Amino acid sequence: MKIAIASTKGGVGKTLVAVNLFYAIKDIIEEACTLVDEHIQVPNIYHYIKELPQAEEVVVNVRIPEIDQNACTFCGRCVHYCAFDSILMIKDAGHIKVLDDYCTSCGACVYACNDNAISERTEALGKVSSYALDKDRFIEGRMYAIRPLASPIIQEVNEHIKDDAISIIDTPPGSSYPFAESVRDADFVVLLAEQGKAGKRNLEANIQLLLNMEKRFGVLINKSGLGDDGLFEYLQEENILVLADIPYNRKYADLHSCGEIIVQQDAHLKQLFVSVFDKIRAGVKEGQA
Amino acid sequence: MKQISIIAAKGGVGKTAISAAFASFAKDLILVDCDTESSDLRVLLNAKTKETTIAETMQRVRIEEDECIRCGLCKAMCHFDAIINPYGIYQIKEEHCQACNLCHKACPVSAIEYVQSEKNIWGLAESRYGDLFYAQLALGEDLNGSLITILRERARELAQDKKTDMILIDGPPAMGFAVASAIALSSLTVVVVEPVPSAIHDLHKSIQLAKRYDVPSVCLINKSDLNIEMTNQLKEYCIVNDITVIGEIPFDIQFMQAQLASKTMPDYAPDSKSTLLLKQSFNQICDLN
Ligand code: SF4
Ligand code: SF4
Ligand code: SF4
Ligand code: SF4
Repeated sequence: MKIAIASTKGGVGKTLVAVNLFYAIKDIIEEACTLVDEHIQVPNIYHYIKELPQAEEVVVNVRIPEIDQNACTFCGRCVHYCAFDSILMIKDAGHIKVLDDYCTSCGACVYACNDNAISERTEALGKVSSYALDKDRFIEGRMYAIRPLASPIIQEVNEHIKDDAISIIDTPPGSSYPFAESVRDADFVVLLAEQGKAGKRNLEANIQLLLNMEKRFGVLINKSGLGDDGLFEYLQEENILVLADIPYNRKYADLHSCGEIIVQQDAHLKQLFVSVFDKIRAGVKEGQA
Repeated sequence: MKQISIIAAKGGVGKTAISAAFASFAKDLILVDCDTESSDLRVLLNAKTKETTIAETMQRVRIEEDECIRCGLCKAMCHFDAIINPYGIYQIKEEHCQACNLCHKACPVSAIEYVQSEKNIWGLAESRYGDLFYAQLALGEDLNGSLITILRERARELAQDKKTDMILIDGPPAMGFAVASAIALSSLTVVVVEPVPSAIHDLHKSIQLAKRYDVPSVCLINKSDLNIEMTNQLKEYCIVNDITVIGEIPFDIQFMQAQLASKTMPDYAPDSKSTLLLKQSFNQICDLN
């Protein structure tokens, strides 16, 4: 069962929910549970796991083209073929270069060149680390440099967890591309939301995305109690499953900022996450029936 | 003309609230909202849309079944395993396709069409403090940050036409390739951090990225009292790396309340300590430039 913790909006508390959901349930369920960090550009869950054991690592490689200026006839075909404007050619100066930062390793330039001037070198795009935590696991995807190519790493992470009994995935925020990529295989999506106008608009858009993808999902409202009840009314009207609302609590912010696992210190929140998990399970069962 | 970008490696640090506050101090400027999912800055400033344009940045490829001679070349060439042939019929697996167009160019019978996606738009809206550019991306279509580059270029043109002194860019949520597109050519980038366990790493990553694009950076620490020890470490990091800390704002629940009320901090809490600190930070930026 893959559970994706998602929202295209950043800062709504995905990491907090993923980490605390994992720690709330891992010791009370029999199955092995995997916590997954897919924030490949800036993974941060590892800060919350005390005493990380030695990792098993898989390096994710990509091919980056290299142009031999001496062999190049400056015909410009590769520049024309590159859909990402990542080849810089200044013909008069006899200069041609691949701008690695923009390159997606698509190989179009290599195909384009008729003069054998382009070769490819292998470069590590990132890595996937896997840590054993007794019966459970923690998996982290990490990208070394910031490049416009996330999917090979996410795909490798997904490969790692495809047979796991239960996995809880902290998905990357922001662009809809990683959202789609990491939510695609999920059996259940925990959609995080906040109150307020922007929060509601964002939630509506995210719900639409999930409905289009025909995903099972439920909404978890974080930092509730500060705004009006418009969000709850909307969810009720639309008949959308509300998993829980986590009231705003300065203590939670403090603990989370200091790298603590809140459910280990707050029985109430732990109970809340356990009930969220039960609802997820029931939702997934319902889907299978 | 100053071009200032505000970025953060992680969501929820207050980036958009800070951008909105800076906009209100600057009074007359051009704004760019790089959050292509929810354009929160536009919502926060209640900016009214003046015009929208379909962004011709994303293409999709499609195989015409009738024309395909099933030679398999495209499948063999695609670097992203995005072409599949269930039952012998060649199809594009959209979620893996990076829109590199290699298959389109290579197909011997031109059976692969190249279609312009019409789902992505960019818009120009009017806010109290000046024109605001924003964009909306469709699901799974954020591949190379090119939409953000368009916004940035339009903003620059308009600023030149109108002789506006300042462009303020509210960066994309979280770290990713889009951030590089957002900060390129900035005269200064403000990295907003909060003292969470990953803060040093987040700050480092942002500053490295800015360096790569030759953009000087400064640091603004929000919610500084959530983890004082980490805040001290952040300041130390800044001293060692010669980064100016333009402000240190203690946790203030009014940030959240202002956001829920769709107001900027200077509007919501004009006499608060946070507003004063924001103003001082803004003045520092103006002096630095
Ligand atoms: S591999 Fe693709 S993206 Fe990279 S330079 Fe060649 S054509 Fe451009
Ligand atoms: S296609 Fe080959 S020969 Fe032509 S410009 Fe590119 S590298 Fe040079
Ligand atoms: S290269 Fe063209 S003809 Fe060959 S399988 Fe692909 S689409 Fe069909
Ligand atoms: S456009 Fe590029 S990534 Fe997409 S299917 Fe064709 S070759 Fe593969």
